[in-house]
Formats: sequence, structure tokens, C-alpha cells
Amino acid sequence: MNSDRLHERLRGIRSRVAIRKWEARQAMHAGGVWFRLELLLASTRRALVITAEEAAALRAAGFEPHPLGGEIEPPKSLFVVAEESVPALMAGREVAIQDARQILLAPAMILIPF
Amino acid sequence: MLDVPGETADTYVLDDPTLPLLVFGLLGLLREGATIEAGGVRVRLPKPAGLLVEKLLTERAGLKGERDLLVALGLLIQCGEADVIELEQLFRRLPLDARTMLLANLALLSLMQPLPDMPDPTRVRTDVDALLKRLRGLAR
Repeated sequence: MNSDRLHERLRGIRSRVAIRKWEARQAMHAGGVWFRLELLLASTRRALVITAEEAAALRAAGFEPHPLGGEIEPPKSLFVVAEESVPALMAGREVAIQDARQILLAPAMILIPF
Repeated sequence: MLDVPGETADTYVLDDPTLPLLVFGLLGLLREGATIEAGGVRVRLPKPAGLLVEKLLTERAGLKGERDLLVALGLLIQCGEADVIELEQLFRRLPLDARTMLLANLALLSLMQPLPDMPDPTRVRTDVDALLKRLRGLAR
């Protein structure tokens, strides 16, 4: 391989790492919201999509939504609730945690952690 | 103390006139591990912790990127407690951006769909979660 092409590859690597460093500095700010959402979902064993009415009922019962949901546009109501604390009448619709489309479309969810 | 190479500072072109090479700094994370015999040849394998960090930090994209992450998962499955402790030691010495990337790739691994003939990430999400918790505890 011609060393000019290797130098070109090296320049590409360096520019992508520079972008990554910027992203890392954003991790705890607005630009890092997807990173933090991924971490939250990685710690979630089951995800249940709930309706706006069910989300309101959870709030009324004293459950606080996770602040991360408010940082997304449109905002989502994300309730991190232990399995045994999920109200009995709130079945929700379970979605696979790997189903990014369903997760992103859901306006409100119960996230049951490991 | 183990030095942790940087992806850019220690990645360079070796301008050899016969065989120019791109030297990847992250490969400096690898340490000699067990020796196996394969087809009559003795092969010295890298220790899992350094190889796992290298796999989780090397930039990647597309399907190959997903497969590389699943290779990291295969390594993680093989790791014992001593390997995880070594992984923690390496993690502590990484710069902030590399720590963030490693955590992000582990999280991504936990959210991946299975691929044919590769370790199934959906079956070991609990283990990935436990590792993420350990590493995030160190990052604070």
C-alpha cells in the first residue's frame, strides 16, 4: 500500500477521534442525551409502552418520571420502576429493548431495571 | 504501571520504503496471555482484558462494526473475575473520551439484535449491565 494512502487514513482517524473527544465533553450536557439514553436502556430489563392516561395515573400515584425524558424532543415520560412496584392494573405493552423504532415512537414508558 | 496508548498520539505511519505500515496505538493494550495449540502450531493469545478494551475502542461502522462488538461480547463471556479486575485497571487509566466511548459501545452491545453465527447479545444483557455498573462506578 502506498504510504500516502496510509497518511490519508491516519488523517481520517485523527479527525474522527477529535469529533469523539468533543462528543465525550458533551456527554453530561444536551449533546450527550443519546449516550445517556443508551445507558438508561442498557440498564433496563423490560420496557412497557403506556398511554398518556396511564402516565398521568403514575404521576398521580407519586411516581416521578426520569429527567432524561424531558431532554428529548418531543419529551417522553420515562418511569424507572422496579418490577414489584408496577401498579397491578397497569399492564402496558411490552416492546423489545432492541426495537429502537418502537422505543423512540413511544410517548411514555415504564422501564423496569435489572 | 501499565501505560495506556492513545488512539491518535500512538497511531502513526511507519514510512518504510519496502512495506509502509499504519501502526495502531490501541494494539499496545494487548498483553501476552495463554498459549494454545492449533493445527500443530503453538499460538500465544492476548489476555482478554486488553483485547476487550481494544475491541470496544477501535472506531468502527456498519455491519463490520456490529460484528466487532459481538466479538467483544464473545471475549466478555470468556472473562473471569481476574480479567474483569484487569479491565477495571485499564479503564481507570483511559482518558475521559475513551471511557465515554467504551461505556457507549457496551451500552450499544446491550441493545443489539442477534446476528447469525455470533454470540447472542440478548442472552447476556444482565452481565453487560453488571459490567457497566462496575465501570460507571469507577468513572464517577
